[in-house]
Amino acid sequence: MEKALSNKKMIALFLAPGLILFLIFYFVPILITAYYSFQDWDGINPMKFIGVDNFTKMFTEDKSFWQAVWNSIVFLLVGIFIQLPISFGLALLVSRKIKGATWFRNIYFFPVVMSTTMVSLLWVKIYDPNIGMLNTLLSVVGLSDWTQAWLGDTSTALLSLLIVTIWHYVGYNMLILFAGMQGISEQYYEAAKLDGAVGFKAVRYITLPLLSDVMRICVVLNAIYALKTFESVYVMTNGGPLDSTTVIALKMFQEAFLKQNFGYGSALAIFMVLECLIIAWVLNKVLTRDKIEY
Amino acid sequence: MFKKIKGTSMYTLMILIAILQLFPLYWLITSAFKDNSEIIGGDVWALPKTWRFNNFSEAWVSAKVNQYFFNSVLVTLITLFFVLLFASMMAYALTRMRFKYNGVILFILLMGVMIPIHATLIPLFMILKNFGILSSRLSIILPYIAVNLPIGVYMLTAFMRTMPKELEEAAFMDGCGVMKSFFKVVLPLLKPPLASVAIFVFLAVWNELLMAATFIQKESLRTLPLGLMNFSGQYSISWGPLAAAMVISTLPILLAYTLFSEQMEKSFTAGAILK
Repeated sequence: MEKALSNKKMIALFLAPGLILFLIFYFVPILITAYYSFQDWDGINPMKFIGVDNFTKMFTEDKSFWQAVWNSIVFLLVGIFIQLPISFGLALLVSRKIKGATWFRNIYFFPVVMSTTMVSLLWVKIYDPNIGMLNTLLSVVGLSDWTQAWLGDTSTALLSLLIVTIWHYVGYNMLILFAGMQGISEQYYEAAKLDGAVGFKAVRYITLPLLSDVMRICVVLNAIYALKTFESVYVMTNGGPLDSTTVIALKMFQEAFLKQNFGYGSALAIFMVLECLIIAWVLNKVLTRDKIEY
Repeated sequence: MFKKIKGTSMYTLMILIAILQLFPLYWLITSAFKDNSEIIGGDVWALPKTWRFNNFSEAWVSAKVNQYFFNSVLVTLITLFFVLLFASMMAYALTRMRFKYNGVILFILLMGVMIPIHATLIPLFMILKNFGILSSRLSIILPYIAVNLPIGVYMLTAFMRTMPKELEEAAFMDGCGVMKSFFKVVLPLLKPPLASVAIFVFLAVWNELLMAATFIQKESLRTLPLGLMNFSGQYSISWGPLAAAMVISTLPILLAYTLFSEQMEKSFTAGAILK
């Protein structure tokens, strides 16, 4: 067995197909993107090495870049400070031992498995000023002053996108937190009950501290998802109106595949990678506390 | 008494949230059976006056949803097959075989879990162009396999590390070779984690838009998300057929979810914790 399992040919045979595909279609392209980011290139004419000019342009000349960074931060903050608390509340609700809890959990989670494209197309219609159900609903309840072209107005477009994101993903964190809550032993709650900690107190002093690891995962996950936002913006507003909802991933896509600025697009991609890695690292560092023992 | 009121109000809250989550989907499904005059200015709560199935036939045939559906099924199945096969082979090699660069390979794969796929698009476009496969289904199948391998390998290695080796040892004693022991003994034992990986990959591929929008040049090769996006551009006025198309493309997911909701939820939690 030892011999068979250290046979070099066998090892290569088992590793090669997957590894080669992964290297050619994932790993190497990342390295090439880093290389392209220092070039001026339209995809046809020869590349020209321009040092860090793409990055200088990004930070100093490109106004919509900062808009995109700001929007990513808004997505991130909303994900962590609005969506996550709602998910936590939902997780508490569905972990109560009541009839139909599983049903509610399944209903809250279902949108997560739908594609972002589908959800976005659906909400484009919901927000539509002519056929959309939102304006119709508002008129019915007497708020016809509020009706408007939600996605077409710079003052409401980003907010409208954020609402869709919350609707779509709130069940994801709920599920992870719910799974975490199932892992908390009933003993703690019983012991706390004797000390008079029930309801909110039990949540504050038992559930939250014991879930800190799971919370950290959720925070990091939400942050990364927020920074990678592309589909919803691409489908619903395409960054508009007037760049008010643009994000880095969308800018990269437009620069590279619409304007043929492959060098600049690559620089944007590299910025995105660094942003994701750094924020994930920082959040992990900040949120890792010593394990709580009771 | 107080407890009872609290219980009822909690129920009311849960039902309200459920309505909030379900109502857009209810509107989508009912719209799929309505025509424009019924949708515009109509009662959003109302069921269709007559159930119009012609929205579905229009979406299926004239809007070519049949073609997009076929493309999505084909691309998803091929990707699934190769991800499951290659990922379990790699996981087997990484946990059972003896060689030096074990750690290096796992580390490289970790990059695939951490680094957003956006960073691969531009060079991939060039690579696919040079391979001359930009106008074929391979242009998304190959990247899809590559993108989904790391998470698969990680889920499977995690499982295999905890798997007892006795059965495999017995197989070797009986004179099985590596191949036979892998296919006959190990693969059947891997069913539970393979199901998790399969669900994860199925959803990821079925729903993918970014790569499809970048690499697919031919209209006839469009997958559902890409096809529907273009469809929505053309049919910006009539919502019924688009709604029907969206219902059709969400059906497989709804079906899978009703059949395997528990398994699906498990797979999502496992995937999240890996990241």
